Amino acid sequence: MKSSANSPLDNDLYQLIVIEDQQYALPVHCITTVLALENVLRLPGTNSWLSGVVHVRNAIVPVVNMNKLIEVDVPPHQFNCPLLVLLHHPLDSQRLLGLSVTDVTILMYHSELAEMASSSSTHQCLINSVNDDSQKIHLLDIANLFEQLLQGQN
Amino acid sequence: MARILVVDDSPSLRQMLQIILQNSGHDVVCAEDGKQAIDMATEQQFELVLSDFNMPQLTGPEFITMLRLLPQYRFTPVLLLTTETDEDKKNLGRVSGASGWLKKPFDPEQLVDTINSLLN
Amino acid sequence: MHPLLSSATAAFHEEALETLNQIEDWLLSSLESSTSGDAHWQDTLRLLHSLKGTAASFENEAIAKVCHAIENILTENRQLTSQDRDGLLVAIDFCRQCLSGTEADPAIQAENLANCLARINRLDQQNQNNGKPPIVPEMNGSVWQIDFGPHPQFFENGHDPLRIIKALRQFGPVKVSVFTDKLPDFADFDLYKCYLRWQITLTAEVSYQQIISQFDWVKHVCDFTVEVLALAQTKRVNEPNRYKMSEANLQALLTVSHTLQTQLKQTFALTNQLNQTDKIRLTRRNQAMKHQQQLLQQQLLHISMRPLADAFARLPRMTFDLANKTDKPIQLNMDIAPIEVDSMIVNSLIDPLTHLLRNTFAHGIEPTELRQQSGKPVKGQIHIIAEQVDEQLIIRFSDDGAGLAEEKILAKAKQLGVNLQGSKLDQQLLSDWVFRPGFSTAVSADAISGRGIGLDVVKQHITDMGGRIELISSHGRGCCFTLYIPVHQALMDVQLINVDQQTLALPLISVLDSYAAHSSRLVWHRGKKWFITDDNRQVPLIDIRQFLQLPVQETDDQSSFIILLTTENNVFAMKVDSLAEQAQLLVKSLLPHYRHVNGVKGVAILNDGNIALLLEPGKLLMSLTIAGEQ
Repeated sequence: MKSSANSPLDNDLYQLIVIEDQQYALPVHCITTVLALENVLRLPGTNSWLSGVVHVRNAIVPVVNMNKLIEVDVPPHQFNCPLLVLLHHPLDSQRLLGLSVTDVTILMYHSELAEMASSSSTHQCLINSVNDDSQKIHLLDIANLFEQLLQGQN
Repeated sequence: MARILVVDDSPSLRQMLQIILQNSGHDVVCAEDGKQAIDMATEQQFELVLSDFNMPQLTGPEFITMLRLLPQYRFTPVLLLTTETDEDKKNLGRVSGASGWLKKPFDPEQLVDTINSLLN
Repeated sequence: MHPLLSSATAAFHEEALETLNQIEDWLLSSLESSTSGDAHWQDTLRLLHSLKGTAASFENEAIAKVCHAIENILTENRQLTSQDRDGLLVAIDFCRQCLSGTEADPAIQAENLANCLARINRLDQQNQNNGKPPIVPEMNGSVWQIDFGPHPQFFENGHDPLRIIKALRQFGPVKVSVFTDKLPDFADFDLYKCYLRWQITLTAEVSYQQIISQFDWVKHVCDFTVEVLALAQTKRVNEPNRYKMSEANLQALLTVSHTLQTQLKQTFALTNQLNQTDKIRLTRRNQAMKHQQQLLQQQLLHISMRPLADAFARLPRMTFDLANKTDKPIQLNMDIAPIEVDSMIVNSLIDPLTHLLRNTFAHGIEPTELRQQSGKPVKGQIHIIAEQVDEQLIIRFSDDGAGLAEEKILAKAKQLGVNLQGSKLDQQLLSDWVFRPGFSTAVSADAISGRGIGLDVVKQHITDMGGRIELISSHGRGCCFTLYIPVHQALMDVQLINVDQQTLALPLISVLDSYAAHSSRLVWHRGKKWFITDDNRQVPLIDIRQFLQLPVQETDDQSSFIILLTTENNVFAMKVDSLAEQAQLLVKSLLPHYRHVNGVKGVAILNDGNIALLLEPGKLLMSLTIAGEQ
């Protein structure tokens, strides 16, 4: 497993989510809440992985399509993403971003994830990806994900 | 339950009167000066009119004098709200056609009672 | 006071402050012009009178009394001396202090009021005793006989004999006898005339005055006599209420919030049932909830946003006071953008601006003689410009004084042990030093700005807000402080438009005009479409659909609209599907969560909670023109 700067403890919990046909694992302490995803306002001239912005909790929060961001293959049939998982920056709870999500499934301990076979990360926003019965789970690098939002031409 | 026209150039006083009267179950329409009030009075019929004494351009008594010229308002009760204690000013109000007056500052309950008695 | 009146009380405070400001402005400006225009004098008198009545209605006795006193002065004296003016300005300050409620102790407040009134009266040689009605000898009795004979025309002007009798009945039980001797035959009966008269026996402990006052308004259209049949006495006491301003908004919020909670509970209970009737009821409840939520939002906005101009409101008065104290005539010019920003920002700006003003008086503007020597106009000039540019508030505070005293600063820097590499005096270096704590070239502390504590404290305030401050000085010509403060939200006037069922917003100040699109006004020129304005000017027509990355529309010029927009240097046109309303909306920037997007000024929050892009006309023109020319 690729070692990151701060190795997480084995007792840390991760929330597994499903985006279309991909699975992701999010550290639980970064999740603010889960809401219904509605009224996404598209921002012209932005990357396709930025679905747009939504108005939640008195803030204008960007919504990211993770699959498009890490450039996975487009799934054969249409999937719905009715949920918005609201994340906050690990060091600053006022900084928010949203993920468009199909489903929120189970919780897993870090130790369980560590036991699985891993492949190196394909994207800077992923810590790495693990395999569970030929099902891939991507581990998100939340801090980098936030940085991604502020980059780009002005 | 009556339709009342409130005429006062002070927005906060208009608001206060509206709250008090609506809370007693009346329909309240506000005007910020005499001219607007006359327009409104011709557009719809009010059962009672509440007017401030001191207003720019058209004073309370002047407005009431004009209002009384409208045939549909010859017998309508009109209440003057005033801080004036000057006898001459009171006479002016009475002569102009006011049905009664209420001194500012007024007690909201007293206002409602006065209005209800004017309406019966 | 009745709890329902809390929101009106808030309105009263705003209104009263506004009135006090207007009166103060008049007092300050009447010094300037020698001819105190009659109209303005009358206006001020009327303002005072209104405020007196309104203040009394909202149970603010102190302000009512002060207004009354000032009213008397102005009615008696047609010319005001500067001493009079000072006294009146102090009185206005006192009124403001009454509104802010800073003095909680009623005893001290009463003393302040007495002092204020005494001071006003010292200006006016006459007695202050008016305001009390003339005392009428009160005769008290317990049984009264009232003969009441209305004249035939009694009913005119809305008078009603029954009402008078009912009013008398409020005092106590009455026995009423009616006399019909004046009633005519039915054929001659005029509906609008009064033919009856009454004798009323009232059993109540009241005074003659109280009974007479019931007939006050009708005494010219009736005959009446009042006689005492028996005597007695009592007294009544009224309890004033105490009311705190700051509770008002909070109460409103709590009420709305609680109602929302109750409605939510009701809705939840219904979700278990599925039949049609309940579905309809659920929808109704949902509508009601949405309405409450909007009310809540409005109240929250009201607390959280404040006009930018409020931060500068005290400066004119301060300038006047300081000019007198330092004997330096100074003109303050302010150009503040009419926007509302986070109230925290407004509150945090008041102190730094005050410091900057004092600093300018103490160090910036030179004494009159020096100014005359350098050929400057006698009156010192201070210019303040405040505007919002992108996501920043930019405030420019400049004066035409002496600029930074470079030698003094150098000397002080040496004194503080700062190492000077070479003697090149860099603008940047100078400004940096000036903002250091403890840095002051003032020789002695004075009452105005202390030992120059201003500038490092000012810088601290600004950086605390996440902003920065810059200083440009021109020796002998003046100084300019520029404050940059990040703003993430503001209230803005916008024009809403529709393009492809999408709602967009444009800053209202950029909108010049709008027209129904007509092919005769569109011309092709150099491969692009142009629009002909009313005054036959040709302006570029930009395609907003291109910016929004929408599919190209089959040209249907007949059913769309053209909006004429202006930026600083350009006028151009934009084609839209339709125009919606104009509104003042909360606009949030994409920062801090996402980076700035070209052409997008921010996101406007519509009244129903949805969001719409707020476009930036200037950048739009730039980006689309460039794109078109490729």
